[in-house]
Amino acid sequence: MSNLNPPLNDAGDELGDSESVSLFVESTWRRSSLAVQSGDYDWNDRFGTQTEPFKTVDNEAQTVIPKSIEIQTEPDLQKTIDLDPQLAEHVSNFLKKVCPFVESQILANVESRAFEDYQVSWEEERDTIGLLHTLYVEKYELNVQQGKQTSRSSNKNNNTSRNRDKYQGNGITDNDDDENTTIASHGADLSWNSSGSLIAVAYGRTDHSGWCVHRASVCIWNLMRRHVRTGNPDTELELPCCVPCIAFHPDQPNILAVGLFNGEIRLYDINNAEEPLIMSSTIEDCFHREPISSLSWIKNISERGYVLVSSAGDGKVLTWAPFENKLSHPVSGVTITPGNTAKNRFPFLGVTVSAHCGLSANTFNSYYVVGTECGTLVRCVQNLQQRKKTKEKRGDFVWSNDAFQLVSSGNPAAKLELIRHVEKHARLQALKAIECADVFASRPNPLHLYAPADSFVLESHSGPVYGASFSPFHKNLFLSCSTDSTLRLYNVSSPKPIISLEPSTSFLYHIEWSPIRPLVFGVCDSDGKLHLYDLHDNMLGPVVTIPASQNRHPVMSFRFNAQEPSLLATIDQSGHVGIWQLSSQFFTPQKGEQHLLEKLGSLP
Amino acid sequence: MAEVEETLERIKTHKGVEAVIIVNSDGIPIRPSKGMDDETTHKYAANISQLAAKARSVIRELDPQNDLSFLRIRSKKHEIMVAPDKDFLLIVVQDPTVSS
Repeated sequence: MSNLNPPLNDAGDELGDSESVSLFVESTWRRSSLAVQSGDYDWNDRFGTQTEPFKTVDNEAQTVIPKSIEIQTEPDLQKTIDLDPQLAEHVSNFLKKVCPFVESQILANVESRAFEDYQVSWEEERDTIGLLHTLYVEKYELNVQQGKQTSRSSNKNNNTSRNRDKYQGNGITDNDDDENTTIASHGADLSWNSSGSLIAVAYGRTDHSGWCVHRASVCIWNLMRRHVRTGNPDTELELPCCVPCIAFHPDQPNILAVGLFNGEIRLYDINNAEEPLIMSSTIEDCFHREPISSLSWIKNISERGYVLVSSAGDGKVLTWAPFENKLSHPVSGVTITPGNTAKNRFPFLGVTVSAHCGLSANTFNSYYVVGTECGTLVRCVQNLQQRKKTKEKRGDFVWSNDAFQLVSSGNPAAKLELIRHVEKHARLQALKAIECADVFASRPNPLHLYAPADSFVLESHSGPVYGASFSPFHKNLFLSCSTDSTLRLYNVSSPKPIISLEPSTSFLYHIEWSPIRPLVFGVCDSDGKLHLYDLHDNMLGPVVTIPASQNRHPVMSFRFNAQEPSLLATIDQSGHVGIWQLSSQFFTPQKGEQHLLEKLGSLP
Repeated sequence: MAEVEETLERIKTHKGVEAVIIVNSDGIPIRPSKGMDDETTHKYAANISQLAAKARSVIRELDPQNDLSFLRIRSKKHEIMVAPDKDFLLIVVQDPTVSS
């Protein structure tokens, strides 16, 4: 144990102060202030007690607003070289060298039998026609069954007309809504899109007796998916009334034109999921007030690109340029009216179908054919005026080029009256410049605005004409079919048909040429069958009859697929869509077909 | 210039000939081309001059002393005959099975 206590002094020290060791820390600031006072100041000593002055810098900043713009390269303008004398000399030297040999080969070709029996098959040959898919809307099917059950039970209670409506046909009642609104589930029309991968199906009833109180939809299926969803459409567009006809744009695979029962025409963009409806026309006296009976996209009338031609039961055939004016008004139109001379007189009841020559602009035909409900086939001449380029000044008003062209191409007898009517409206509105929209806003008489078509009557059917189609390979030939069970091939220049055939005793609803083979066409009837004709093999009857509908429901429409030639789609009244795969004979070109067609179609 | 026209017309009158086109070394058709509209003429000119150039390079690769003298393509609908030269190309489209 150590001794912790400090040793005591022997002398017996008492408590006393120890020598404190003190530390002295020098103050920095005192020293410096002392130094300053005493003049020993050294500026190098950092002692500052003052804040440095703030440094400020002025700068401008700006938010950038991005703007997006689409850029596209224009395709190179195709040029050709014209022959000038110097070039001509070179060319003629070249031709002198080359021609003898070429001509001898041409002649040899005609004689040669080398390739006569030689056939190459690039694809697997198919001998039979098979059903690939049946597309239907499942919820319609379930509701049909439900509807039948409920109506059976309620029928016992009362027999009002409302219940009779539920019980009829395949209509279904949506129990949540007002009892008067039913969902139309009958099939009405089909359309393939321009790339051949989507099929759009329009639903609508054909047995209306008054206003349409149905809700309908257009369903779109994508057939290029690995697993085609047969029970559920990939896209469904809801519409407020039945849809008698639809047509996809021939170039743009996502634009669909829809014609409604109330006379409206709408344009949809399929790719746009939130807002597919791009534009729609209104219902006015000058537009359509009856169900649209046919819609077709026509190319290149007076350089407007693709225009939409619509015909309806009110006897008007209107041409719309949807991408120019968003369907606010048609660019031109005609009324199909009975002619004045005894030769031209025909009973008039409403346009059921209009067929236009579908060939490219170079082989353009100025005729188009309109079929009516009373069986008459009317051949009309297209108005091929060049688009007016200048404005027209009349008195106080300056008419725009399109507006003046619109009124000048109206009924010639009423032209002055129409101009005065529009100018009166413009005066009331205090307008100086008159545009197309103003012409329509003044609500002119449609018979004045749309001239009667320059028409000629071809030999008529005895029942409503429901199908007409121009051949894609011959500019003057077209087929028509009607409820008198006959289908006829006409040359548009002569009134009598070339061939008249009767595939069955039932009504014929749609006829269409094949887009691949010039001599093949199909016609569908109300007995559930689709007849395919091949004039190369058999000129009298169909080569194949497909039972397109399971329960012999009427087949309302069918379409060939131009991009996938082996596919054909049919739709029947119960709303079932059948996708058929055709046998190779229907899409492999045969030798000499075009010439046979021309021979057939030539006038005696 | 009339001579060229006359020669082309003569070729066109042979049985089954549908179109006659002259193309220069850049693949641009020289007007007038007989029997075909502008758009199709350009398609033919562009495609066939490329094919003729490829055919020529194949022949020369297989045998450097050899060269292309004539090219014929037979399709289901017709036969395309191509006569090449240093500066130009003559294309004749004929359907040999037509019976007039």
